[in-house]
Amino acid sequence: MEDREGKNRNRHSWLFLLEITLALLILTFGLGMIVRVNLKADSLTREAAALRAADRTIENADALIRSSESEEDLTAAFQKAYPECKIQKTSGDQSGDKSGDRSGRIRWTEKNSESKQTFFTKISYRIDGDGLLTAHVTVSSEKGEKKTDSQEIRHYLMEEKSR
Amino acid sequence: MKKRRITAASVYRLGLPLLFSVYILLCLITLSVLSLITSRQNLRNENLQKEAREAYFAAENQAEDRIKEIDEEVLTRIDMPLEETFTIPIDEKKTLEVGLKRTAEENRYRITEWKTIVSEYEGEDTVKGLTSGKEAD
Repeated sequence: MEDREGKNRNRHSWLFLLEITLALLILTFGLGMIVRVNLKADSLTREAAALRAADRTIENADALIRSSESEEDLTAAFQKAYPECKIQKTSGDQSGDKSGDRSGRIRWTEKNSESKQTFFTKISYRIDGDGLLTAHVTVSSEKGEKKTDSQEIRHYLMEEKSR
Repeated sequence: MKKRRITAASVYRLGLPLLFSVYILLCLITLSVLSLITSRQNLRNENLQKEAREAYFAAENQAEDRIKEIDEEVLTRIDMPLEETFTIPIDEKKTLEVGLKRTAEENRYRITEWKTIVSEYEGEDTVKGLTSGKEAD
């Protein structure tokens, strides 16, 4: 009788071990899948945050550009909004453009608290003799690489128009 | 008649740990999938926002070109109107309306209006019963 009970107990323990092993295997496989899904979700969230930050930067730049009436206005507005920005002005003769045309570059770096990424913004602008300013705003998440967003902005500078 | 003895091992139901782990796993998978769906939706919204911005900026750029043309015309033509308004389509439903006014002292145009006009929605998915007149059943 005791021998039979012992056999029964052994069989149950063996089945229990088998079940636990199976459960652990399924859990490991499932958790691996969950980690992959979460990593994908995280990368999508980061991408969305980067796009949002770039969009905000471009909209801010657009507001500053459209509120300017001359090149001096433009550079002063950017200097005030982004004190750490680097402004590089070139005249038409230096840049190879038509004489009377002016161009320049405005660059700054910004750390986004939401996505914890650093964004590099570069604005290349050109003002032709007719007073039309054409600016290309490029926001990238890594210096010189990985362009996040870009936009062309044209603005007619009435004060610049030679009359 | 043989009586079956109830031991601790026979009381224990086989399959419980497995069921429990599958349940936990299903809960975690559901949460992860929901998180992935939310992230995808957020990214889609950001892309839609970007497209809307690009369309709006393209319209603004066209408006600036038009303002430049009008301002240049003032120099050559004397019959230019005192006020001028023009619209530029942004997308199917929105248009950018720009208003200009000529200043007497400078003989230059100044922007007096810069607004987005959203056309009225004319879709077919009107909720029947909530609308008045012929549309209601």
